Amino acid sequence: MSFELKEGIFVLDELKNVSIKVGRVIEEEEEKEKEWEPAGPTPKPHILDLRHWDRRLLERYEPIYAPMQDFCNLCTMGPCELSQNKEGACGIDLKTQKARLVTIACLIGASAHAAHARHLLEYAIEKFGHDYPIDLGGNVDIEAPNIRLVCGIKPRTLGDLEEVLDYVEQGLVRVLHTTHTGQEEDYIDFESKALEVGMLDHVAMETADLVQMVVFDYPKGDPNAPLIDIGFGVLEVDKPVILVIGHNILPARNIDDYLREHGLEDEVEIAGLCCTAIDTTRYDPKAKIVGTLSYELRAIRSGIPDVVVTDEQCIRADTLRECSRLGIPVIASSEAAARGLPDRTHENPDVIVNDLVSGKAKGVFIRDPDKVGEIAVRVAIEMRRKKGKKPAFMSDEELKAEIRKCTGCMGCVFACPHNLRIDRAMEAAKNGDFSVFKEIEGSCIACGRCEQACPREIRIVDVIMKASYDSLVNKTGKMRAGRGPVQDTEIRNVGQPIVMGTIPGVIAPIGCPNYPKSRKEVSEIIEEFLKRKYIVATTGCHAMDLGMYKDEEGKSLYEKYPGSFDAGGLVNCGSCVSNPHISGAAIKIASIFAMRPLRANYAEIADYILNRVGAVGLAWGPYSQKAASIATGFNRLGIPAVVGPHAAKYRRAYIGKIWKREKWWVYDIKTKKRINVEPCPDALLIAAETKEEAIVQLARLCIRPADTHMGRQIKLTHYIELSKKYLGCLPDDWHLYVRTEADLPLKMKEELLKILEDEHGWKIDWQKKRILEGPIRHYDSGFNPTILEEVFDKYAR
Amino acid sequence: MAVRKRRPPEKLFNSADVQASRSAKIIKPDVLAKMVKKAKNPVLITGGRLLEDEALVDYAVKIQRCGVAIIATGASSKPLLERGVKPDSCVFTLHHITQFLLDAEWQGFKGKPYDLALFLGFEPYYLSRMLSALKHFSKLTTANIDAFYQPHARFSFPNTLDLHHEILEEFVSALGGGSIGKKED
Repeated sequence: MSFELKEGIFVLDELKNVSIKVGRVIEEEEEKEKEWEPAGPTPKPHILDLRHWDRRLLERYEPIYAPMQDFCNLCTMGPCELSQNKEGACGIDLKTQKARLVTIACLIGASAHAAHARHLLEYAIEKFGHDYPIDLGGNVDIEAPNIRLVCGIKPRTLGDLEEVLDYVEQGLVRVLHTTHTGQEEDYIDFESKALEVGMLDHVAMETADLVQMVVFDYPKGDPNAPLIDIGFGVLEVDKPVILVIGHNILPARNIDDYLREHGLEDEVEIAGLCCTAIDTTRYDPKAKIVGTLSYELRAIRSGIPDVVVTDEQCIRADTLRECSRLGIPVIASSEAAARGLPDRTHENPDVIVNDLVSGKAKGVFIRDPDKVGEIAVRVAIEMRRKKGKKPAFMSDEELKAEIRKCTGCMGCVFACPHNLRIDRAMEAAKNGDFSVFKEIEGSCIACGRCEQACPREIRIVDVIMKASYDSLVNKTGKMRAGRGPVQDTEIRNVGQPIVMGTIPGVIAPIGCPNYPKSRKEVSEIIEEFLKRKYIVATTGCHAMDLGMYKDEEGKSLYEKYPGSFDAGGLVNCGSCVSNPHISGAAIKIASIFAMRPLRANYAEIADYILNRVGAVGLAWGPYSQKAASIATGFNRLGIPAVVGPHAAKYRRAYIGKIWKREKWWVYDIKTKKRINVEPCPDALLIAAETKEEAIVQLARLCIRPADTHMGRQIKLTHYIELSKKYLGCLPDDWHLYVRTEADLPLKMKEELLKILEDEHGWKIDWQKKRILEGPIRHYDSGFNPTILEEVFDKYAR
Repeated sequence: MAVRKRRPPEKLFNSADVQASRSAKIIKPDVLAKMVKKAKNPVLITGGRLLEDEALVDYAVKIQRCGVAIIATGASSKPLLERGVKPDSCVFTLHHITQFLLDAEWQGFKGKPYDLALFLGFEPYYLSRMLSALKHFSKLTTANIDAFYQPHARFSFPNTLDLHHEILEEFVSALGGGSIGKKED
């Protein structure tokens, strides 16, 4: 006789000859913990469990597809031409194929974060154990809002996160399976899958950041996290320089530990690019940041690094080739990018160091991050000693020789992602005028496509760099170290003003540096909102670029604005995987301020956020699949995003049709009626072309149906002021957001009432200065909107 | 300093922006002007480059004065308004406008659907994607009058680059005095 006890508490008395097989042991305390909040309707939702929410969203925010290619070549029945929405051999049409590709892009992005989380978790459990507690301090009780919301799990230890990642990985595989040829035939269903992946991505990112925050003791919600040096100019280039590139802290953290353990922290510079840089400075504020991905080629070609260490994600695929040209050894450390290098993880470090320094090996692949620490430091020191004084980047003679080679064929112009007029710059430079090159440098992302196209093999990136070399290598700035989560106490303070609208919005600049124009633009956009007392919460490359530019007094935005999650505060949450602290803040507003049940209750919370929380993302330079996935995750949670024009290449956006009045409705829980509402927000994902347009769209998308009249008045004031400032006029749609005269900006009230009467035919009582007729609906202070029947049923009936 | 003007190469603005279906037919300015004159409700959609290039604003104003409505995107409304031109819309992005144009039910901003859309003053890569959407999912006739050839428009000027203003001048001259937008159904 045998029993298998899977889960629960059991009492066995007076049994003989019984074999008992014990599954996972559930302690009494843990059993109680399961009751921390009653489980909601969708714990660990299956691929179809939130489909109803997605379809409701997409009825209003219709996908728009902008095909990059109009053919499919993913299977051997093809290639199939799908132009004008034709069907291919498998039956798929162009729209559905684009939705499929977007789903695949999101899968790539979310998988990058999930694998990153898995790497960190495996390492952390090995070093610190399953039972290492997840504790973010007294000010952060809701430690994992996304995990609680999606999985219904309140993680207490590292071990608990294994279950979370198991779920994410299974979910990603389930969606990946649906992208196989010959399956889904409805583009909305593919979009639902993309939204599912975006949601899973936020869970994966939250897991990754939780792990590193707790085991590496990063700042945990500290608004006064230290200011970090950023920019080429902060590097002491006479010291050995280790350049760490990528997104995974593990090798960089071990380099930092090795330096400290050996008293070398003042002898060797550790400098980072991209999110590894951000996370290294969360671990050690003395570490330095060179900049974003767009500085990678510049940093390598400057010849400043003595060794380059790569981990995973956004790293150039020619890093080894570029470094080898300059004799810079490379240490690859991630399975994601072994770079064709031999795996020398188990070899004697002395041999590896010798091979790298002597040039016998251009690079090595070392899987053990602990070992990377020692080798990178030793190689950097010995390389510095061997090379002596660093050679000048490019002599004036070399520069002139390169410029002389140009025939003006314009191959570079047509290869450049921005079609920068390099030909004009070359022609001017031949006459000694480098001003055009200096202008170009501000917009150049140093991708190197121009060099690939040049028939004369001109080192165009180097020429552009050389023309601005002094300002480039002397650039310095300050970034506040990534603080991780928003404190629960901060949410208690700002939850109500955000929902009422008296804090006009939360702007979240996140994402990559593929900007349409100057790298400075993101600072210019954001300062407009900081001055107007919006809350700004940032991550990733945008967080770095916000620290890179200084005002006339030499101060970066981080030095001018406080780091608190409050009106006019600039919060740097951290790296890419810190994005769930922003989605988490929105979730916490619903949970802490509005007391909505959080556990496994995704659709209700997303519905709450869509209708009440005026938060908008800004991805001004998105390029990666991760950015696509992150934005899609925000969208499923009811948070819109404004993206730069390059994001049109993601092929899909979600844009409502403001003129289709029947699309804009909600159930009002108070009056128990379905009513028409103002079209806000009118898009979940939209590309703006210029910074001026982006500013106006951001202010516009902060408007929510549940704004109080005071909140709507403040939001409309900013929207109208910004529109007048940047568009030169009142916005076309301002009247749609007016429910009562109390919504109108005070200073413009009479003028706007007159326009409502004259141009829109509204009836105005001029004695009382009241609106009698005209608005889509009248203001009701108890208005309680939802677009979900289940939420309406729960609270209204 | 003076920059020598010359005929630009006949290349795609991005050599990888390739599709299997038809590429835009290159159109001469006078032929396009005739097409605009014949259109029932043509519209000029302007983009953010108008903030950098005053001449583009001048040409947009001239086109509008020939009776073509303007939809301003990318904040291009500001310089247009400064010249006394009131666009039909100012706040919507090209992305919005494309989404609207894709819907056969849309009656434009003045209650009448557009049958020919001209595009001026855009980042080439952004415009390319929007033209691709319109090519595949609408019947709208699109014409690119920007400096780079746009393969996914129905009609496009060739790459003009430094000669762009000259070709716009020809186009505007050919348009002058027409009776655009007056033709009855």
